Amino acid sequence: MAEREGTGSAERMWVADQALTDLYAAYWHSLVRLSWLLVRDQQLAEETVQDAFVAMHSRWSQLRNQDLALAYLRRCVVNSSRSALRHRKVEDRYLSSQSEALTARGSTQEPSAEARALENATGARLLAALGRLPRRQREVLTLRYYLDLSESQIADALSISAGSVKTHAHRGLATLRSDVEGTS
Amino acid sequence: MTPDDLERRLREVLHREAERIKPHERRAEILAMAHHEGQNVEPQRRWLIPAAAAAAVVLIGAVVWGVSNPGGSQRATFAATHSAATPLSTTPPAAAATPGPSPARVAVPNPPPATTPNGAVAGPTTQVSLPAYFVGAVTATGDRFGLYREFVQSAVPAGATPAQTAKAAVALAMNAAPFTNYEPYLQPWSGTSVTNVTVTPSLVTITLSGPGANGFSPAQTKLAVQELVWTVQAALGQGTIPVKFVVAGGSPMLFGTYPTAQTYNRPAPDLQYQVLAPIWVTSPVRDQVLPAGATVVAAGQSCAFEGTTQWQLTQNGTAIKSGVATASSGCPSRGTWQVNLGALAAGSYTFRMFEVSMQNGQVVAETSEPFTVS
Repeated sequence: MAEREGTGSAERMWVADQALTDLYAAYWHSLVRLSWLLVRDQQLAEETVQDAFVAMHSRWSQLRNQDLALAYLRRCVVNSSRSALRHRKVEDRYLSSQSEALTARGSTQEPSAEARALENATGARLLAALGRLPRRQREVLTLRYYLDLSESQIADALSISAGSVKTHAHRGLATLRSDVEGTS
Repeated sequence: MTPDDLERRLREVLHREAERIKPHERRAEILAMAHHEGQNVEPQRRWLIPAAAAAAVVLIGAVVWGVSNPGGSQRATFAATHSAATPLSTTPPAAAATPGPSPARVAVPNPPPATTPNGAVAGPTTQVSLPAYFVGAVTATGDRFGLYREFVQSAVPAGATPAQTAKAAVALAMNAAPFTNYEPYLQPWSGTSVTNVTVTPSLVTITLSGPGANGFSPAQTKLAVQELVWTVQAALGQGTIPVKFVVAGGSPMLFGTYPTAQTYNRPAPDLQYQVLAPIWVTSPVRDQVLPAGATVVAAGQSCAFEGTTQWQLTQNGTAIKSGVATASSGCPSRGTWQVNLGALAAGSYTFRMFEVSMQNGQVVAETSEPFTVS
């Protein structure tokens, strides 16, 4: 009996390993980058997503489905990124990284491409304005425009209603528009 | 800035920003931590991770085998035998393979059947490899299409002018029939031939015998026009000179839709993803024979989310290796990728590259190339 239980446990672990390997291959990069866009700290982003994968592995017997697992990973990543921002106070680092990013981008532009430079400057302003948005609006816009998630998928990832997603997106975009146009 | 502009810019900015970082590999650590948690052991402290990673090496080997096991993975059992693209480089590949640790130089590819463009060529001819674009399905379901490039051996008159060479290439692109045993390319120009190509520094004019075949969707006929534009520009090698069509008999439209009064060109680089198939495998080429024991490196182009695609190597229908490739850039830019497949034993293989949707896990683009090691 004990042997059978042991075998069953090994099989469950084996199946979870395979699921994790598949999901890791497909989503590790994009989830780390999603977290990075939210916390602006690569190591923290990698640790956040790593923890999400570990948690997903332990719950695979309940998830048993890649779509559900992906939705679970997204929720973990967004929640943990938010917690990380709150508890590790990397918000300041995020804001300062915005000004560094502006400098870095400016220094790597092709000098002859004036149009591209102007476009990049607008992009940097847009990114800085995104960083100044309230957390929830920033999360909604990042999930929508980086991962191209639907309203219902964003609602699931953030554990809010689809109506709230719409409201946050609308307000966030309106603020971005006024920020960018106000400074151009 | 219109609402659409703002959203487009935000999407571009976020993707560009995200690509500033290159996430490190942590699969070993994750599996090690997952197994520790599975054994109800206190989670690994981060400062212990390097040791855990070392300990996990054996574990990873087992997991990779699990993924390769047919039936062990949903994606591993997804067969795909459609669509392909042949060599990218305009320089001929080396003829011999180099054994040893360095990547094998590819042998001379086995081209599709040699074709004489548009009838016999009078007088002395020379064999050249011409680029020709074809409209093919992007996924196994065949609901979306894109352009694939083939390099085709063809006879052209010795000392052919650029216009004659371009005409030969257009004739090749208009005839997908020689590929039907290999790839299910569409044949929107069936029953139509190219009668002339003239070239000036500012305009290429292609004269066709007819306006194109019936029965194709607008998305397909748009690509049919584009395949001739891309082909003639590639054969000329003089940049993106606008292309004008003339139809014998004076038909004012191609496919009843595209006016001959206007000129056509390739889309701007950031919009070419709308035309080109998202994944090209440029090496190995179809049915290439490689020497056993030499390292095989697959290469190609992709326009994928974050530049991330997945690959799978099958031998006689059984998946033996798989992994992830990261291209030099992500969509909408088209990046290049390389995958080291290692030394392979003699046998028949198929290399498959595919992109999985971040949204729902569906395969959204794929292409496969069969090759042989002997």
